[in-house]
Amino acid sequence: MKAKELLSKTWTSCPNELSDIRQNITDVCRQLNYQEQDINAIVLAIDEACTNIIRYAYDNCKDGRIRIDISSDGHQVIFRLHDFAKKVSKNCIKKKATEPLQPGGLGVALMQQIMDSVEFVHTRFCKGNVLEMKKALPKEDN
Amino acid sequence: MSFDCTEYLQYTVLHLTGEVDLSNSSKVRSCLLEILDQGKSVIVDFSTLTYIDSSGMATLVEGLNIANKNNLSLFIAAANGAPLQVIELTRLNQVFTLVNAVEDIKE
Repeated sequence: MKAKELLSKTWTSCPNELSDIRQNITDVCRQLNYQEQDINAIVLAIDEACTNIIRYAYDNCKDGRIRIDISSDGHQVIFRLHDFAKKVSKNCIKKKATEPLQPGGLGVALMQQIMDSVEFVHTRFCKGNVLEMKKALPKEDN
Repeated sequence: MSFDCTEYLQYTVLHLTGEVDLSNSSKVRSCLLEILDQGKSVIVDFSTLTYIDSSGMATLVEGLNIANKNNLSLFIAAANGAPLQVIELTRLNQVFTLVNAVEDIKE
C-alpha cells in the first residue's frame, strides 16, 4: 500500500516553535482518530525529539531547520524528523536505565515508551539526521 | 506560559499556567530555585497547567533533590490531563507527593 502523506512542514530550531509543532501534531492525530491520551503521548514524544534536536544537534542555535514528515501506510503512522545539523551518534537514543530522581535522559525514555519504534535512518546522501518513529494506527472501534 | 507565587501556610505556592517546555523551563527553574534558596517549602500548582515536557519535569526533579537535601518539602498539586500523564509515564508519581488540591495540604 502506498504511504499517504499527512504532513510535511519545516520549522526553525527556535524553542518558541515547539508550541506550533505540538499543535500541528495534535491536528494530525485528531484526524487519525487517536484517543486523547494517545494524542497527548504522541505529541509529547515528538516534542521531546524536537527538543533533543534543538539542544544536541543544533547546540541551541535558533536558525537551524527541523522538517517533520508524517505519513501512514494504513497500519501505522511514520513520523520522520529531519535536521540539517552535524551527524549525531546513533547511541544517543539507546535506552538508558533512568532512575526517577535523575533529571537527564527522561526525553529518550519517553519517546521509546510511547512509540512502537524509534530509530535513526540512514542518510548517506543528505545532510543531517533523520529520526524515524512509528506508531500503530488506532483500532477502528476507537 | 505564565507563573506567579502566593503564600499558603508555611509554603510558597508556585502556580504554573499554560505550557512549560524548552522555551520557558529555565524561567520556572530560576523561580523554583529562588524559593528553595530562601528556605521555603514549595507547592507547585498544576491546576492551570496544560502541558509540561521532560525539561519542565527535570526542573522539578532538581528542585525536589534540593528540597530533600535541605529538609524542605516540594509537593505537586492538582495535576490533571496531559501533565499528569507525563508524571505517570516518567514514573515520577513514585517520587513526588501528589495532592488533589493545594488546600489538601495541612501544615
